This record gives sequence, structure tokens and C-alpha cells, in this order.
Amino acid sequence: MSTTDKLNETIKILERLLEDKATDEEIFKVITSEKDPITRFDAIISYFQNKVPWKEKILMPLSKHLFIVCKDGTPIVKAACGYEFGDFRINWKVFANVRVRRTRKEFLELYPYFMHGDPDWVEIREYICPKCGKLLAVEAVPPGYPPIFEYLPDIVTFYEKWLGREFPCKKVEFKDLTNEYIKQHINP
Amino acid sequence: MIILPKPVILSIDTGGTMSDTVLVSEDSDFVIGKAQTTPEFEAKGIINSLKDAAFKWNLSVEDAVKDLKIIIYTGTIMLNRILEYKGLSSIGIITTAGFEDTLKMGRSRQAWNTLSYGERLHAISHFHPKPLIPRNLIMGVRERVLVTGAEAIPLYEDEVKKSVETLINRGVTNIIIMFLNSWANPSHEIKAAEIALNTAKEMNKTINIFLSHKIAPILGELRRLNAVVIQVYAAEPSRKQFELMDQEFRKSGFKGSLYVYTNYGTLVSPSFERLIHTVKSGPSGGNSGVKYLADLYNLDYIVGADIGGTSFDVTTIVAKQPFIEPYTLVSKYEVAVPSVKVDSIGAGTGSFVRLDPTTKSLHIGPDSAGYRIGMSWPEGKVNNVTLNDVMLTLGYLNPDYFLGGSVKLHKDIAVNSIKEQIADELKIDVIDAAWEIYKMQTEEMKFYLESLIRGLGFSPELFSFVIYGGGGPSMVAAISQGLRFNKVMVPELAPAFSAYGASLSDLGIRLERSLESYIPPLPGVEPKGIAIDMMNGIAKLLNIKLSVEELESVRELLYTNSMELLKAAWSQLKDEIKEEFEKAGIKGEIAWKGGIRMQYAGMLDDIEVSTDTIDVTKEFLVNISNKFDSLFEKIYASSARSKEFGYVITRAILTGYMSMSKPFLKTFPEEGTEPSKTSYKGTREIYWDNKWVTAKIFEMGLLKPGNVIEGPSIIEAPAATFVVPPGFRTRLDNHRIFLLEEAKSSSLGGENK
Repeated sequence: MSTTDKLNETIKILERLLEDKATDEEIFKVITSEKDPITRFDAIISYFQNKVPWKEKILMPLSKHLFIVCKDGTPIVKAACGYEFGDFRINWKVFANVRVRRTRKEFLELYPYFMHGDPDWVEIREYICPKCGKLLAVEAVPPGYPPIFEYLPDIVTFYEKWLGREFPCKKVEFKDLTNEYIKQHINP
Repeated sequence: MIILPKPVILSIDTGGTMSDTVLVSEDSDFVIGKAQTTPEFEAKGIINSLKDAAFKWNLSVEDAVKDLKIIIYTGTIMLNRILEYKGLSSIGIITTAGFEDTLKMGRSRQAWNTLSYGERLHAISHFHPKPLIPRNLIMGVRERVLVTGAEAIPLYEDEVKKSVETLINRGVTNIIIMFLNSWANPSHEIKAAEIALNTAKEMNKTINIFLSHKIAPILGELRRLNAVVIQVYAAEPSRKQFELMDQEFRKSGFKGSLYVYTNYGTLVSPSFERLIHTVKSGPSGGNSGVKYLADLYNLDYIVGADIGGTSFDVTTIVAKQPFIEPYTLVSKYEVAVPSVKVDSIGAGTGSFVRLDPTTKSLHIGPDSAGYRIGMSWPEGKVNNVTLNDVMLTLGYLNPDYFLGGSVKLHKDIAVNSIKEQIADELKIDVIDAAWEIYKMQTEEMKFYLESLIRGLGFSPELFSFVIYGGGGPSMVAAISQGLRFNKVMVPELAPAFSAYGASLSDLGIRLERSLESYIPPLPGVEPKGIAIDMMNGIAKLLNIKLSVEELESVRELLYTNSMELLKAAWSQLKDEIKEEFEKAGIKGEIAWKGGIRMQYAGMLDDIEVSTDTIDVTKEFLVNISNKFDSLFEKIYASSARSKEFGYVITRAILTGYMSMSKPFLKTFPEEGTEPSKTSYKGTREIYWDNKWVTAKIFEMGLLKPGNVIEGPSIIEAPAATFVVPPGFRTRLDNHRIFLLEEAKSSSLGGENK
């Protein structure tokens, strides 16, 4: 089978998996069959690239809604709806709208009595896309705990050392910039 | 004038890859037909296969059909209906309140039962089978019968009525009623059925009712419920399909009867109430054939292996008897119906061969190209190398003689594909790659075979080995090499051995029902532990101390009770079997064969003990318990026997047989060891054990009994290729069965006495 055929077939499988259309048999086949190091990354990139309404090149998906893209030569986080969060090395949660549930009453709106944490110990944060209002992530952490930075990839190394190809955007240093950003914008 | 053979039996076996037919004539000559299975319309493949068989006798389909006395069906009609979720819809269930989710919860092993060992390890690859009946068509009704059969909560009749109304309003026309412990006391199911019928009448609807205790009166609600559900979902619609098949044959002039082969090696009419007993008829056919060989050659232990296009199925005969399991695995569902033990792995001639792109390790199967053969047959549109391609590359298969030449294979495509997909990736020679694949596959089969035999507690030397299926003869030498089997047999009819096996069966119905009956230790054995507790029973409850004499009389009382229970169970099964034969319009003398499942009191696993007499007396009870002791000793160990605890009968089993005229393997006169010139077809280069050798090619049908073929040779038949590698030799015996041996240890001369 040619690489293009294989790529197209993988894109079709990904589509069925990600859109909850796959049957148990199809999922089982994906789980048990051999992994494909050559086409899978390209397949998932091209699947998402065809889905989003904007043109910037996707460098790596973070979730079904968030992607690291190359915007005017720098890698940033961009949502499927088009909202731009900023440099991917800054936790995107800092730019999102957030709703914090702090009291038992607020917990009970969603979670039955014995199925949630103690509000003295835990708060529930819901991160919402500022543009389309989609719920992007939920975290349950002790009050005061900084937003969890779920995924900070060393994207340049990944492209150059793993995929063995040129990084198609500005090569940036691998570093967490979240604290720096907060320092600049919150402290007077 | 040439006298054409007059076929009297037609046996059909539709597998995942091939539809096989065997036509048997009045004087036990037979001819086999093969055609690719047509999953979208099964009858087409069957007729093509029949044409292929009839053609060999210069008969038209009409000529072949008009004198047939019986047609036997084995195959996968029902199984496919379950695999594809294309069974009867509009089924509802009424069950004990609180047990509505029985189907959905299933049993954890249903999630991994069918997986290979590797996949079983990973919970991520465990998927529970989808319930065949949606939850909104399952209603709970309050009632409770205890395991003793006593009623603990009466049936809430108004709830039954309401449930039936709801189900009918939701479009249900078939209602299954399954209550807990209905095998011990079916009165609630019977009452509920009555209410359901009345309710339907009031609503001016016709519905069909199916009761769990009628289909499978067996302890354990999940397997019992699965049995009824699959009976209604897959077997009932098949009944109609068999009628259509029957009509189709009648159009061509068929005047006999159509029978379906059961999971346990008998034939039943399609009108059989528990048609689910035929759900796994496909793989069981071979077992009847193997059992026949056991009798013919007087061999106590035989293991049979069937290599088809998709799977490798192993079945055993121990002490001339097939192993019958108390439950059957249908797809992933555990079902309370008996079947012959058949173990399978997903490895066949159509198995895909792949390299893991990351680790470059070789994987064969478990999925397969099935009837699409491999890349060497471009019409099959396969894009992955299969084992057929490998065997073609190694020179074993003849590209111009596959299925007698009706399917043309392309060797160059096979070689190039293996080079491209495997050899180049591994940076090895294409022939080396093909040989390693063939070796890896046959080694895997060998290990599987050996582990099954050793798992039964035997060593392979004790067993003879029969191989069959289209792919069997091409791998038999590699599989059996080194296992030191007593005999290695390759029947000439290997490609259709399963179908032929089915034609060797009697009419027969096997019914089972659960029982809970305690037999105290036999006279002369001193009771201990649980036996004393059981015998003291009530006395203990009432705080009475029993004297030795009194305890002895309790022992007698328990013997009598056991006898009564067993008698009642067998007489009920007997009536049911008689009724089935009558319903199918079959008259004649019924021969009875009894059986019980038994265990020592307090143990978990039971063993089936068979008996020729079903006349229950105290002597009988003693004899069968002794028989159980010695069987237990054979399977486990004599020191593990626990006679002092007494016994529990867990199941009563009864089979009613009606004998039929059957074919037999003819005995031919033996001729010289030298094969005739007409059978010799030339030579071909084959690759074996890392070198090319020149093999002589023979036509299987033209060899004569007594002929000895030295390896390297290839014996070709239209539907099978028998590979006799260097260092092996084979002799065709007087039943036209090839005996294969390694030449060094040869004693082929007069061994077949």
C-alpha cells in the first residue's frame, strides 16, 4: 500500500475514533494491531487541519479543541473556534475564562453528595474558551494551587530528533514561561 | 452402459472460507466438492460446491439430488447472525426483579474468553459483548424461588400483566421469561406465560413465548438466559432459513429429509425445539470423523486438527469418547448448552503476515483474508501477505492447481509482496523470510497442540494425530515433527473431513438438566467432615444426638432420595426426547445413553460420567460412584479423591439415539509400494529446511493403496496439497488414509493391523 493510501486510511480511522463512530471491533483492532510510527502523526495533524476553519499550520494538537499552531512565525496555542491564547510555553489556562466552585452548594449543582471532595480541601475550576464558551478543562485542586500546566512539549526536539525533520516555525527555547507572564501582568 | 453413482447422502459444511460438500453414494463411495463461501447468500456457495462434487461423477445437480435420502447441514448460519448482530428483533424479556441487568453485566470472562493469551493480559483489549436485547425491552417482576425449588416470594401477577402490556406497546412479539432457579421449580415461569398469553389476547396481539426452563433447565441465570436469548435471536430465524434451503433442494427434486448437525455430534430435525444445540455445528463435524477413525483403527486416544483458511481447531478423543463440555462459547457469550470441546487459535492458510513497524517483529494472524486467499489472487483485493502467499513462494502450492485450477494464483506477485513487505524490511532474502514465516506458524501450532495434550494430563506419544481441512496436509509434517505421535494420519478426504464426519452421525438428541442431589459415602466408607454434617442435618438443627444405627438409616434415606431425584429427572428428559422425535415425524427404536455430572461434596468442578443403563437402583448408584472415582483419579490424582465426603450429582444427562444408515470408509486391496506412472506429474523445486530440493509431484486421486511416497514429494489434489518433506515418507493405506512418518524411524510396512 502506498504511503498516501495508508495516510488516508489512518485519517479515516482517526475520524471514526475521535467522533465516537467506531464500533468495539474497530477500537479493538486499533488497540491490538501494530503501531505505525510513520504515518500516524501526519494523519492526526492533517485530520485536524481539515477540521479547523483557519489556515495557520498546526504543529501539534493539545486536545480536540486546542492546538499549537505557527502564527506569523511563532508557535502559539489556538482554539478550534479561532481564539488565540498566546505563546504555547505559557499555560493557556491563564488566558481562559475560569469558573471556580468553592462551596458545597456549588459542588452539589453537578456532583451528588458522596461523589465530590470536601470544599475545605478542594476547589473545582472550570476553564472556558473566551470566544465560543466551550468547556476546555476541569481541575480539582486545593485552594490556592496554581493552574496545572497539563502539557508542555519540547516541540523543537520532537520535530528534529523524533520525526527527523526541520521544525517548521521559529525555534524557541524549551522553558515554562507561565510564572514570568503572571509576574509581569499581575504584580503592579 | 456406464452406471452412474447414485448419491444418497449430501453433507454440507459452510465455513468462513470454503463451503464443502460431500456426496456419498449407495455403496459408500464419496466425492467432495468445494467452492468459496458466499457470505451474502449462503445457498449460492452451497450449490456451487455441490455442482463441483456432482461434476466429478458426471452428474447434474438434479441427478445428484433426486435420490438423496438425507441432507446434513453443518456450518455457521447462526453464528454469523450473532457476529453481525443481525438476528430477530422485537424480543422482550421478563425476569426476576433486580436481575434486569444480567445480560449487560454478563460475566467478566465473556470479555476475554475469545482472546489470545497475549491479549488476555491487557485489560484495555477486553470488551464486553453487546447485549443482544436492549435494556428498555427487559422488565423485572417481583418473585423468588430458592435454589431448593421452594417459593420464597410469590409471583406478583399484576406486575407480569403490566410488563407484558409495556413490552407489547413497545413493539415486542417474542417474549422470553427467565426467573431465578426456574430449573428447580418452573411454576412461576409457567404461570407468567399463561398471564402473558391472556394479556396478549386481550390486546388482540399474537406473541410467542419462550421459557428458560424449557430451553436450558440449568443452574446459573446468565448462561441460561444467554441460551434462551440466542435460541430466539439466532436459532428461530435459522429455522425458517432451513425450510427455505429444504424447499430449494425440493425444487431440484429432493425427496428426503434435511437434518442439522448438533454441537455434540448428532443430527436433529430443524423442528427441534432447542435448535440452539446446532449453533456450533461447524467445528464439531471433524470430531465425529475423528471418533470414527478411533473406532476403525482401534485407537483410544486421537487428537484431530483442522486447518482452514481462518482458524486452527483442535479436538480430542480420549478413551474413544469425545470430550463434551457442559457449556458452549457462542461468539463471546457463555451459553448453557453442551458441545464437543474444540480449542481454536486464529491461524489458518489465509492468516495475514505482518511486521511490527516499530519493533520489526513478525506477527501472523489472528485475522485472515479468509476466502480472499492472499495477494497472489488479485481478484481477492488483499493488500497484505498471507500464509498462502508464503506456501506458494516456497513451492508447496501449485499456482495453476489451486481449487483444481478454478482459481489462478500468481506466484510472482506473492514473491514480490513478501520481498516488499517483509524481506526488505528485515534485510534478508525473500526465500529465507518465507521459510521463517512458515516455520514460525507451524511451530506455533505445534506448541498449541502439545500444550493442549499435556494440559489434559497426557503425553503426545499416547496420541495419534489426524490432520484435515484444506490447509492441514500442507503443514502436517512440520507440525507433527518431533512430537512422536503414535500415528500421523492424513485422510484423502482431508479438505472435506468435517462435512464427511457429519455424515457419520446418528439422529440424536441430548438433553441436560441441573440437579442437586447428595449421595453419602458408599457403604463401607466411613463418613467424614462434610458428610457427617450433611447426614446429621436436621438432627443438628434440633439439637438431637443420632445413634450409629440412626445415622446409618439417614444414609439409606439419602441414597433413596438421590435415586428418586435422578429417576424423575431422567424420566422427564426421556419424555421430552420422545416428544421431539414424534414432532419431527421420526419413528423407530430409540437407544438411550445416560450420563450424570458429579463431584465430591464440597468441590467446585464436576465431571461427566456416562452410563449405558438408566435403570436407577442402589447398585447402579454404587457403580456410577465407583466409575466417577476412577475417572477422577485419571484426570486429577488418586490422592485427591475424597470418597469419605460423599458425592453430589449436579446434572442429569440423557441422549436418545436413532440409528441411520451411514457411509463407511471402504477397504481397498493393497497394491505395490511403487506409485503408478499415471500418478506421477513431474518435479518442482521446493524449499525446505534452508535449501532447495527437487520434489516429485503426484496426483493424490491416482495413487493406489499400498503406494509409498518418499520425500521430498508433493501430493496434489484439487482442494489440498500434501507436503512430504525430505526425511519423511508416507504410505497410502487400504482406507485411503496417508500415514506419515519420519523415514529414519520407519515401520510403515505392516504396521496398520
